[in-house]
Amino acid sequence: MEIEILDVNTIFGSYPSQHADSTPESLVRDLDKQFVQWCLALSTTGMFYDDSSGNAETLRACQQYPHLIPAATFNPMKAWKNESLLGDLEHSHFELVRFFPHEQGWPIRYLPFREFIGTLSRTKRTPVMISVASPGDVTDVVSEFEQYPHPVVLEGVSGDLLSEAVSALRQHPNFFVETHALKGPGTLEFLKDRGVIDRVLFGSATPGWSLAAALRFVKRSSLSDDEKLAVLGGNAQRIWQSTEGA
Amino acid sequence: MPVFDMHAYFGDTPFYHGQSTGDAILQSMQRHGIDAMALISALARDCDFVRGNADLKTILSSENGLYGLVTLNSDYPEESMEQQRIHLSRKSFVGAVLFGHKGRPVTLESARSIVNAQRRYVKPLAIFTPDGESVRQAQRIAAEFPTIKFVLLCMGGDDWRDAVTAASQNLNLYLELSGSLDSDKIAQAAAAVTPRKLLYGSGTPNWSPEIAMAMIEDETTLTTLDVSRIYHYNAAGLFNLQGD
Repeated sequence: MEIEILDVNTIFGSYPSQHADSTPESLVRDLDKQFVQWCLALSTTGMFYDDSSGNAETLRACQQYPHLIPAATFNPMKAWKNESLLGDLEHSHFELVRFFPHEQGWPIRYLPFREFIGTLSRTKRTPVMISVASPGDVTDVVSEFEQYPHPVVLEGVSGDLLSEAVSALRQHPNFFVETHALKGPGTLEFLKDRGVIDRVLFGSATPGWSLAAALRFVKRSSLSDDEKLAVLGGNAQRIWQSTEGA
Repeated sequence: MPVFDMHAYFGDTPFYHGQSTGDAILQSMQRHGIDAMALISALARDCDFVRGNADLKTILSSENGLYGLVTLNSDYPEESMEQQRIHLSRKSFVGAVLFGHKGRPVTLESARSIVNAQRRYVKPLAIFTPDGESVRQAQRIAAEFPTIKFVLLCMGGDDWRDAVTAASQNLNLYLELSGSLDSDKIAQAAAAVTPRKLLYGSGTPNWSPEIAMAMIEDETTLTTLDVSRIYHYNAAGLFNLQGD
């Protein structure tokens, strides 16, 4: 099976509590070892400390390593500090904007976030990815992104959130699910049976989480080879290589 | 290489029915290359431990590699000791297991009488430890009962470093490797407590058996002998299965 793998969820940089520091170099090495060709990457500085300087780090790393595709982030609690981000997104090469409400401590239903999404929806086509962790989070994301016209990726969907995520995907054709928190046998097959396997995107959360385990979870599932290819890269390619461009 | 999965459940999930009957479990084992499992009743874990243990007993078969862990409940010490008496003399039940409930971990105070009774059966006791607090409580229990071997199921989850520290301080603590996908976990645990104290467990059907396998096989610091110990030989020694 010839696979071109695209990992939509990778990070690099210092991790304050869980993992030894990683670098863009070590991330590329880890990806090469597992034959992952492309990844959407983000600096942890933007996630944990300051979105502006983190986004700048991400762009620098992705210029140096062409297999890393830049993902920006935005912290709505510091919205006043980063009013230029929308302009940066228009004029830079970010292919995704990520949001981390749980890590950064803000609710998904949050006025500064709603304002940012409203403005973002009127800019160029920008896929977004937002972390979810508890029952109700997906419902809140659906509410906030009801009018958002571009792809919305739910990151962190576990077995406990799967029914809620399937409801979101069935109601909104621009919604997608990322895989790193899906661990149970039968969960990918469940998504297939519900008719949404074409909107499942491979993500690993490497280097903090095991890339080998994330890959094996998909490769050893009962999906057909074509469906595995789609999850591991084809579905993501449809988003990021569409004629609209990101 | 033989594989013993020491953390698997007998029960159904909305997404997967491969652990719901004895035959389904055998098919699932074959599919994932697993030779034997220590099964826990999901019914016993979540609701009725007496009925769950009785149901589990009906599918166990040491000839087919289907072993069991008797679920005990520290909120019901008398009933738990009765479960030990009924089941732990059987060959197919290779140990016992304790779970916390309603977010409360198993504590020394709540479990003392049950753990004390466990000494009679010379079989290990597993304790579900999904976080750091449950690890600290399990370590207190292990320190009070040094002649019993304990297994920390899920080895503290994301707080796995606490479990590694506990196992390095208490020789009677073993670590079961499901619980966190942290890519550093196995290398650091093996360096701190040696691969002889690590046990392969999947947590299936909540987790795919392939996940912990990928982490073990991807860990370049482990030798082939280390991997075979983690997959099988440590469990065979712990559960006294050498003759099986």
